Amino acid sequence: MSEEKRYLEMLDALTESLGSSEDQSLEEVTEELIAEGIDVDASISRLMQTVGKCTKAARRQALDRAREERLRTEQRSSALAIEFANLSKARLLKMIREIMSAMPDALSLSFRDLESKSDEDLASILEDLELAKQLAVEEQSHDE
Amino acid sequence: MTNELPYDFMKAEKSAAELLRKYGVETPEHIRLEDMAYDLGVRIVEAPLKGAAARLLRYGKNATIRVSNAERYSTRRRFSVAHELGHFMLYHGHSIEFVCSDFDMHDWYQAKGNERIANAFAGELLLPRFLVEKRCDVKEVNFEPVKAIADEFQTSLTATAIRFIRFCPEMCAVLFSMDSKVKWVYKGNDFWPYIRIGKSLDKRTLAYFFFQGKTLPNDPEDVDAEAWLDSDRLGDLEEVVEHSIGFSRLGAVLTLIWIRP
Repeated sequence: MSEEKRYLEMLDALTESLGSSEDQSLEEVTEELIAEGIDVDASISRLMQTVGKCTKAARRQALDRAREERLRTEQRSSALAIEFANLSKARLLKMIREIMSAMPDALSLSFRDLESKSDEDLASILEDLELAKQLAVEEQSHDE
Repeated sequence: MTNELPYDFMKAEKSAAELLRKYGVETPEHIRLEDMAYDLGVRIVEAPLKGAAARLLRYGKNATIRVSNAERYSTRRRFSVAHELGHFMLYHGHSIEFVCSDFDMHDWYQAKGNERIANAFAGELLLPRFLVEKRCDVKEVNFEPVKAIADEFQTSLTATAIRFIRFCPEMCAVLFSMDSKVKWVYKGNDFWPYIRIGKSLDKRTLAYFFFQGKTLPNDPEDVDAEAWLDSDRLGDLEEVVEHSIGFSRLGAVLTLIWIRP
């Protein structure tokens, strides 16, 4: 007998027993189910396991959705590194400060020694900030 | 130090365990770091990064984790991502920038403060207790089960050995040696003898031979207990089992010490 059929039969028997169970005690209902050939404890345990598996599988679907979106945005953002690599230090600093000033919690943040960083470092910082900002904008548009 | 963890460590591990539950993780394959990170609002970038192994840059509730593409080992890159995710999830500091060195993550037992806590987070995220503990219940302590776990979970041998020692019911410890000296020790349950950090390796240990340019034996061997242990009162304990693995690129040896029951 397939797993599904077993569950359906168990649920049928359960529904039937519960349907006429208003005047019965818990023991009487259990006895009735046992008489139908159903091991109540084992069935409930199996059912709970299945529910647990389904719940976890559903939770993992969030990762599948994240993967799809991630791959889509990765394609769009690959051009950023090249774009920022050609900017002057002054321009990079200006752009980083602009992004930072627009941050939601900018007042609590600090960023040390920006001036002392190389152009290469600044370009990578700008790229990473821009990527995080893009994600924030996307999340906001999903929420709206 | 025994494996009783301070409160901050336990909190970090709890946070990682909650993440595993949130994403319905049931097997090692389900630990999909990049997808988890993305769902949490964090982008992962593998790209050039000067003078660091990884960096976390925050933008409000979002962040980018940049992992150096100079790192050759995928297991170490994976640990770096999990470590930075730890900083992100545990809200470490007020700075938007977290730069972590190779030392912070891979000599992790010596790392300090938030770096060690982020490592504890990464350890639980990559090698969850509910999946790893039963694999550590072994009769013989050697690197075979450690390697099997590392392969299955895509983790480094060092990170895996530390988790193995933590959960193994046998009396055992893992040591890391460089320049013929013990650099750090992580002791398992009930491992009572003392091993001094910084001590020069005894000529009777297998690890010593690595630093003499010799090949280490593949299998564990019995060695004099006094060669490794510093306690005065070793009593009847005459021998311990040593299994050492040399890392030529790092110039280091990872050693498992087991006191037979």
